Amino acid sequence: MDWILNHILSSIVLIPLVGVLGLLLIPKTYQNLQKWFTLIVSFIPLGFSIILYQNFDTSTSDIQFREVFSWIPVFNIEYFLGIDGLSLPMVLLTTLLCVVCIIASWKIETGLKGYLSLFLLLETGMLGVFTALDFFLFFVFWEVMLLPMYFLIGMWGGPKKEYAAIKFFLLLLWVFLFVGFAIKVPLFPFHTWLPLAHVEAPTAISVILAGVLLKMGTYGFLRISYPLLPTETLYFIQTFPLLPILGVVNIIYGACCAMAQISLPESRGGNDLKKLIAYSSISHMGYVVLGMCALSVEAIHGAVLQMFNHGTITAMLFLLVGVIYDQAHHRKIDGFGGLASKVPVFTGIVMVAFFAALGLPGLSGFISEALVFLGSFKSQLPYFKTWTLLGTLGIILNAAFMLWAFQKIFFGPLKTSSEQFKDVSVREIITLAPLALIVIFLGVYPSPMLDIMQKSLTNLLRLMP
Amino acid sequence: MNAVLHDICWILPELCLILGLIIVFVVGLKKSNPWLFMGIAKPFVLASVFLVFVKPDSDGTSWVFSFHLENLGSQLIFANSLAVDSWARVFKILIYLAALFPLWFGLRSKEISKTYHLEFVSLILASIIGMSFLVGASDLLVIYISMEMVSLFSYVLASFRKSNVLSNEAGIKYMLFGAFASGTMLYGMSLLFGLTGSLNLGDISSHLVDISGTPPLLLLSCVLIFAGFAYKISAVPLHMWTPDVYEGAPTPVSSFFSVVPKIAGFAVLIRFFLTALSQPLPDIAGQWSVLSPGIWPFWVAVVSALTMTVGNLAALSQSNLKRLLAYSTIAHSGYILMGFVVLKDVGLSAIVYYLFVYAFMKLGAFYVVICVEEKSPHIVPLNAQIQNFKGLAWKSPLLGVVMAIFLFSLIGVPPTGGFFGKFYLFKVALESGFFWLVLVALLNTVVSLYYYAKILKAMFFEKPVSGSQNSAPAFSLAWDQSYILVFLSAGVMIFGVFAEFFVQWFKVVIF
Repeated sequence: MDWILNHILSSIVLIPLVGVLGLLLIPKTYQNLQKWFTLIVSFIPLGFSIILYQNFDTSTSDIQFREVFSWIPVFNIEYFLGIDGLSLPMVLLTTLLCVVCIIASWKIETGLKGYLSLFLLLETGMLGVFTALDFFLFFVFWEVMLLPMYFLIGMWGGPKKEYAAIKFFLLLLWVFLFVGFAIKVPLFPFHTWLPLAHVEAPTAISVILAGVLLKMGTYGFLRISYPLLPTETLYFIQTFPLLPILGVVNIIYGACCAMAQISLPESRGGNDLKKLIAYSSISHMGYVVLGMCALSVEAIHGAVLQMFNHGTITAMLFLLVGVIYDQAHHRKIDGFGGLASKVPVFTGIVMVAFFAALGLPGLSGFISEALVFLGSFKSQLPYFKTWTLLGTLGIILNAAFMLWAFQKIFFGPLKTSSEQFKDVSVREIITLAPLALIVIFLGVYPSPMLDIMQKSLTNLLRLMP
Repeated sequence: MNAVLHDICWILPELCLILGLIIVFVVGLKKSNPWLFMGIAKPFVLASVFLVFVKPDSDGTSWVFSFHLENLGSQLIFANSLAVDSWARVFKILIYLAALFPLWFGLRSKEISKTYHLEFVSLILASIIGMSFLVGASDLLVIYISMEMVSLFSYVLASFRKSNVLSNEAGIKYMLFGAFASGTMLYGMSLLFGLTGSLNLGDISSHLVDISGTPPLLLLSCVLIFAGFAYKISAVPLHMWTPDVYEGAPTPVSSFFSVVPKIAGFAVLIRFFLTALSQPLPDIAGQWSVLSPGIWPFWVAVVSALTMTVGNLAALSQSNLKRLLAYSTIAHSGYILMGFVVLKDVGLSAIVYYLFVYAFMKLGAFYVVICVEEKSPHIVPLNAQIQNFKGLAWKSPLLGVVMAIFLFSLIGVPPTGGFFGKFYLFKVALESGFFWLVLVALLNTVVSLYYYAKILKAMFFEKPVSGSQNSAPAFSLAWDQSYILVFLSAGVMIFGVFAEFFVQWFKVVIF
């Protein structure tokens, strides 16, 4: 047990990689065995991250569970893993969503072995990014995450998938080299990859994209830009307020684009439920950026909590779109209607997810958004009240398009094309229920999450000049 | 006489190769079995690799063996015309090991008919004998003669398919270009000899110390000599032959050209410039200062920037994979030159590390092309069209995965060896203040991403074209093909993950 606790982060990161090797040994035709094997492998990091949570010391801002080896001393490269209050929520989120996504991918048949191998590789990459504390190692894991993503979108995605995959890949690499993390957030105007990649990606990959990969941008800001370049970061927040403005633009622009999905016909690129949710993600990540920039204790807690909450809520939303799509084979918003009477359980779960996304009190999205706005409004930085006020417009817009979409799909007369609809299956409930429970639990009692962040985030703010 | 006999003890690897060549010839009089020639040639090449680690001890009575190159010391033999030092040794190892693969690639190739397999094996053996003299040459004449030896055999190899127009064209182009380049180099050498009165690189250096300023004639001779080397390493502006020759030559031969002579070319280029035109700094170990004409490092850096840019930009529009890989070879020559212009031993070890990784990834990429071509009914240059690779990863996942590894390494994506190689080169150049060069190289890396990703896109994301070879339901590889592919791709990854070990080993590689 001691050995495991001393090497727990390496185990979490590398077990999926070992799983890839195991998966390669299973013959191609044994598809069920491959699925169950992958599922079991992905449960191990989840279990370990719960152990991590239990053994996490909330009374210190130090890096915990650190593992340091010299990897390539000539270049001063270390294998350095560790977590603090900033990365632990992300590790929990990633391991949870990976399990959920493997269950959600149960119906994939073509190239299953390749799909599952790439998925496990992706998990290693993501967990590595959140635990690596050597810049170089961070970059290595970043690439290990990027490459499987490229193939997963490209090989198992929708009709325009090649374009989406190439765009995703090229844009990401370019910007990693030249602009930094802005793209992953996805900050306007670097957001164009997001709706496209989402629309063309299979459901499970959309969940990972929105649930985990989006967080890497803001995580990178907090992990690297804040402690390493505090003066420069402050310059872009205060003197030349690029970051808060981009945050506000993200909130409003994302919400407007989502709104346009309802009002525009399909011929003009609208009327797509999945795009609507992708744009709402852009809007919700705007809250994170705004909260990060406020440099007040409440706001930064709100921002990191929003990273976790958005991960669970948006995962639910994409899974639910997947459920609809599997039955109807289209995602047109006006192609549905009156589903509430036909599929009541499904409607109930969608309601939880939509209401959490628009920030209804009692659900987790409310807590983080409220913290962000409270903290931003209290911020001492010049003009910040203006940004906050503009940002609050997003709440109204979000509520508007979420409720509007909900009404169009679930109320009104039942469309003939929807008469064959079946309610959610057990497998789908297994994927959705844990997320819904977390959303409700953290909405009522957010302290377990806030406690683990508190010391690290306060310390992070202390580092700013 | 005794001195010559003693000196012969220092060229054991070459002697071993010559012996192997003779035996292949003798056996070839009676038999014509490709596997037999391979079976004879391979142990001799491997034995030569082993013999690189052996030297006679000082009194000539026994042998010294060590895997640590720094323990073997260095020696000038045959009247100071040939150097046996760790620089020559490490390149010999690399050349012998890299040459083993094209030998094997030729075994199953349709392009190299069984009747002429004896010629194929012996030409490759003969040309690596020439190269192993080339990497140690420290005399202008020896440089010229061994370079011609390599070139002559290469011309024959390029036009190996006698009845194929493209292959003939490749041979003629290669020869005309080569004749022009070596003529230029010879003229430059004669000027240098006239100016310094010596053919020996060390003597030239000690004459140049007394010359101040930049005499135009000396500058001219250096430019002309550099042209000869630039032809060997396909540096701009003497790169034009590369795509045509690689396209026309049989693909196993192209894989040989794109790796092995390049390695030898870099070895001799660097030795010439660092021993004849520079001198070691007396106070700082592992650094050189330039002698008259002192401006060459800057211009070599310009050539490096041009070479990588031209190579990458031209590769963007290629639809034939052999041509595309030829342009990528040109681009990589540009990257490698970055390590040379800094005039430091770390730069040299970065080059050696990069060349090792380069050999693995380039041979691997070419071998994937060879495997695809062999399944094809068409004539050969058409087989390497990118459309023949469409959907290949679905037909043969192994081929797809290893090609992805080779291409990612060529791009420079971590944690492959290609990434650490580039990182090392860029780091060395940055530390010496070549910011602009590193910036150009970074931009080039991004450009190169596009055309490598194009191949991946075709292999992974697209459906097979009907009528092409891979529309057949299965695409099975022979055991030795899978084995080689896995070996090469594992090599690329091991070079990356255990970079420390290799970098430490190559650190001692100086003159």
